[in-house]
Amino acid sequence: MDNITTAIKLIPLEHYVFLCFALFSIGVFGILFRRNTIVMLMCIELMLNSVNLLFTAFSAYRSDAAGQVFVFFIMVVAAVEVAVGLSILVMMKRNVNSVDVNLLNKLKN
Amino acid sequence: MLTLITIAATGIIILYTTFFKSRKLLVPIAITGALTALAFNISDWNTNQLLFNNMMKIDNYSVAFNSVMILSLILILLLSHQYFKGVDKNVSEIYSLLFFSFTGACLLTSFNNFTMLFIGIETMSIPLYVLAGSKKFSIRSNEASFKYFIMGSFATAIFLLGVALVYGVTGSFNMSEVSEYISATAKISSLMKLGILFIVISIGFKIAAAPFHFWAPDVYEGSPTLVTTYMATVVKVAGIAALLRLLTGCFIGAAAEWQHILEAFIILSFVIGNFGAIQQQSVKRMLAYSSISHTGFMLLAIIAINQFSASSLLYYSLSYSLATIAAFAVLILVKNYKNSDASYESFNGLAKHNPFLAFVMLTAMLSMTGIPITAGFFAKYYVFLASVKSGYSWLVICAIIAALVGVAYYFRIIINMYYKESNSEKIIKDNYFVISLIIATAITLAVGILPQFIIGLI
Amino acid sequence: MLANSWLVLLFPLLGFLITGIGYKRLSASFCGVFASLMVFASFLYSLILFIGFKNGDSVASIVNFADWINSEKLNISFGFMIDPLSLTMMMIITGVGFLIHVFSIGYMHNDLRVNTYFSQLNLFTFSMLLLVMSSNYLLMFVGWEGVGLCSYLLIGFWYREKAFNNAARKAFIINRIGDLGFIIGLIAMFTCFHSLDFTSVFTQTLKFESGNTIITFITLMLFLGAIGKSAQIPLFTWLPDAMAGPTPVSALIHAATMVTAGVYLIARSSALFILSPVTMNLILIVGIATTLLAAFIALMQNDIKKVLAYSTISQLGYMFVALGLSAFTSSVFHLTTHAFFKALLFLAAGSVIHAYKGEQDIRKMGGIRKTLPLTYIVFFTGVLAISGIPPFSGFFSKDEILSAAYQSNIFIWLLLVIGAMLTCFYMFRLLFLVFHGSNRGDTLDIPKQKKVMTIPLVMLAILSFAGGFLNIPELFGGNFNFTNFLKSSVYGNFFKNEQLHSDQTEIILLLTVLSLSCITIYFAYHKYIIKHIIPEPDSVQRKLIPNVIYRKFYVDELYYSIIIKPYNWIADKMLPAIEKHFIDFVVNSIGVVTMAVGNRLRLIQTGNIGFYMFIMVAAIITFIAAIVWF
Repeated sequence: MDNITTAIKLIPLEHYVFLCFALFSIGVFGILFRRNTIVMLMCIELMLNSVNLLFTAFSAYRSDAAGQVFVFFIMVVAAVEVAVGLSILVMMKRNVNSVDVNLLNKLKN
Repeated sequence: MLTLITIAATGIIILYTTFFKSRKLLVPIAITGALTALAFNISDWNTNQLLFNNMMKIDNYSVAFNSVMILSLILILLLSHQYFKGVDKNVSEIYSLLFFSFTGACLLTSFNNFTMLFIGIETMSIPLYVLAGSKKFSIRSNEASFKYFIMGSFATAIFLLGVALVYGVTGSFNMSEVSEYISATAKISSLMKLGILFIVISIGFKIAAAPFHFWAPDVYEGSPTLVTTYMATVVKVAGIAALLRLLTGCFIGAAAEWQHILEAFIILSFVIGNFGAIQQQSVKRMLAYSSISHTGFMLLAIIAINQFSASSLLYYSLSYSLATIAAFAVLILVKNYKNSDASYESFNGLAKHNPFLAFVMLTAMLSMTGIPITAGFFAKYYVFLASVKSGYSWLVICAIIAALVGVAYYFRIIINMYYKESNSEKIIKDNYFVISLIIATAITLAVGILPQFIIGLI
Repeated sequence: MLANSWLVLLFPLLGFLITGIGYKRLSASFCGVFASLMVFASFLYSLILFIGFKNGDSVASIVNFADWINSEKLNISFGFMIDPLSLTMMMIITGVGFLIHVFSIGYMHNDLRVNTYFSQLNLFTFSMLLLVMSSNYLLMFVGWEGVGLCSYLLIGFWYREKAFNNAARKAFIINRIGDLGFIIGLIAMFTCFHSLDFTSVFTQTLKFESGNTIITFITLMLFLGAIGKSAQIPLFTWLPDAMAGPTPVSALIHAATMVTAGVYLIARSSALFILSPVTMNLILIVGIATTLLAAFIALMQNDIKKVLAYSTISQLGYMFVALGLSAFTSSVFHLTTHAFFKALLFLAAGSVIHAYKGEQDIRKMGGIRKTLPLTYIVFFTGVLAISGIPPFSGFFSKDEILSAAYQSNIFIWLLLVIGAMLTCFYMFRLLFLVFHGSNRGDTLDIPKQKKVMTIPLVMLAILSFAGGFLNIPELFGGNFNFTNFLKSSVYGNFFKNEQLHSDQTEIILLLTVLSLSCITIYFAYHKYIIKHIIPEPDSVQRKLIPNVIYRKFYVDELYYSIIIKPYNWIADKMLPAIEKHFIDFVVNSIGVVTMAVGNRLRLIQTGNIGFYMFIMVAAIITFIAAIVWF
């Protein structure tokens, strides 16, 4: 365990932060510009996982286990969200026979 | 503690009633569960306990808000019996999902740690994504569910990013430790500022504060009306109670940072909520927009962040929840009876054959507008008082203008009910429904006349 | 006992709610009995409070039921003040109110809206009790407005008659002027004392000098409120019109209780009023002027209820004179006896009207004493009481006011004696024209007098006869029980009318007044019994002075020409210029602009998730930029 923490600390903290921001932003852009709902789900996963990485990095640098425990919570919630999200997708596919998000515009104004 | 367990256990018990295939038992079981939880909750009054390694803190603040939310839950459950009458499929899942979601809501009022806050938000939201889509073969319900899901998950991600940043700076998830860290450091680092911003924004999303309100009108309209009622009352109250708890308990040292964000929230909520509501043809959508505007009023209490904040927010939450439940309940009846899209016209002449329903709606609308002897008047009054004390007079002036605009769309229903003719007939409603309406209206009037009973609590 | 004094309020409120909500389902007889029982329960509880108070220590107690408004500066409690003054008022309201409720069961039994009637009557009782029981001015104002509302509703009870509706509206609008004064007074009081609680305000008055400008202003404004409610000059014209309501309503609201609210207000605020000689003098002047003016008008009225209405105004004038002389207890004493005998007179008049199937013109009545002997006896009792013939109640209360006036100024005494003589004359004129002589009416029908209607009459007659013994002056071996009881509630030097002048002067004064009254009564007897003079029809040309009196001094016409006409003229001129082109334009423009903005703004809600996300991300980026920037 100790050598993993040391290995993580070989890379400066800033790099982790920037990487996470970059990953997070990729996720955000994906949600903004992709029309396929499955891809949007994946982008959400990407955002959550970038946060996981950030937590791990902070946790390692502060030598505090709480951050890593939090990651488990996030993973559980991410799994639940995927389950719920995919089932919503199935329902939608059954009703409109497509997974294109642009078809969802009956509710407006 | 026992409150949470009771709520969660009731959810599980209801899930098992599926095997018995008896619809009649559902509502009594659910209400018994909720009442038991209410009793346990009230017995926690003045006990101030820290639970689970300081993860949760039960104090009078959480007990008071829990009571308001459990009251809303009970009223909604009373409405549900008639609402689900025509539904063929098994509805016990819907009840248990409601209870699971409510567990999250209870966590939101009593968290003392970011982990609990996160779990609370997610436990509350995820069942709601399902509930919003519970009309499986309605494309509108699908759309509402998906919109809510995607935007909710997005907000969750933003929230987690914020928590990660706060954790990175302070090295703790505990509220009091973070608070101590902030008061100990002279200059707040920009990572911390970003963290606070992200957290406030994501909670702003949950309570539908503009400009993060976009999901609200669509989701409120598309979801089954009963779920909308739950979202507009319990979820919003839980979110706003969590926000105040977070800001007072944790970020009070950085008030200057988030107060500007809240200012923007409030002004935009007033503008979008009111102007959005004024041109609607559908009452359901109007209520969705009006709930955005009410968020603005509730945020006024939070931005003030003084000794009046908690009590005025509690009073506002109660009056808003009761009025909203009453309004949605009447809407459910009118909508089902006319089989219509719940436009203003379907309320025409309601007073003639359904004077009771019209009176309930009248009280609800007056309370939302803020006319005296209904609770809404003192709700607005105390919120204004709190923010004037903290020097936010200009926001109060904006709020008064917003309240004036509100008259336009709230009174439109009253005019339609009392002054327009139509050939409507008496609407049938079951006893649960009537009890719920009577309780909501009676409490609205009672606290409107004697606000001290609530204001003096916390 | 005291802590539960809210029970007094609860009963009539329950009565109002139950009869009001169930007015379609409940039977008429049930509603009447139930409403009466509720008031009776309230009376019993007041009685218990009263006895407890008499036996306990005689100190005013404040009972805080709940907090009502609690913001930093404005703290208003839902509290009651139980002291001799409020206890007296509570006993009158519930006691006389109960008798009138019972009478109403018989009087209104044919009416279609009996249930509504009783619920409104109970609401009135509730509001009036709230008015006299509250421990602060704001709660009192709630009751004040409540009785105004009930008065409006009950005057216009037979709403199908347009004239009745107009009368109700007139009462409501004129009362608004007084209420405005009341509100301004309250605001001034709050800015001055930072409180509206009786105890707090009254203790603070000790710091003020007599003649203080702010106090004078406050008292003037409160007095304006009292003028409106108690129908004094110049706001008295609504009361005669208010006789449009059912007769028991006139008895309860427009004679015994509501119209005395003004007297109660001033007596309650005596601590303030004694600090302002200007206001006190004004009250005196207004009181005397009202007494005489109303008494003169009553001389020539031919409507049985209108005569009684003007006599009410005149008697209220007496009470105000007493207030103006700081004889607060005498005023409240007269209020009490007046409540008894005026309620009696109205109810007896109601019986007569009932017997004549709704006819109210005394020229079409006469000789009814043979068919309604009991009514005749009780009416006679009432007339003797109001005329101040010993030992009837009016004698004692009026005598107190007269001797207080004599203390102050013999001229005031003289004017009041003239008023008393006029009272004797018009009351006996009424008695003789209605009950003596030959029957001029053709609609006479002899209904069997019901017990529910006769028993309240007898009870009130007993009270009218014996009410004066509450406060026997020392001259007759009494010891001013009532005054001593009330003393602790009011401020001021109210003792001076007790024994300052000698017994001898007192006896001379009494005999003078008494002999003058008897002469007047004989005069009336001569005119209406011996010479059988019947008042002339409306169409007859009268001489100048009788005509002026007959036309009620043209007060209504005066108001019409100096207020209503110019008002209408201005309104007519303003309508096109200001209303249409300015106000309407501005209002409509605001509406149009709001609607247009709303229409544009709701288009943001495109329904497209991508667009929503885009705006949200843009908003987040803006927030981040703002944080980085500042």
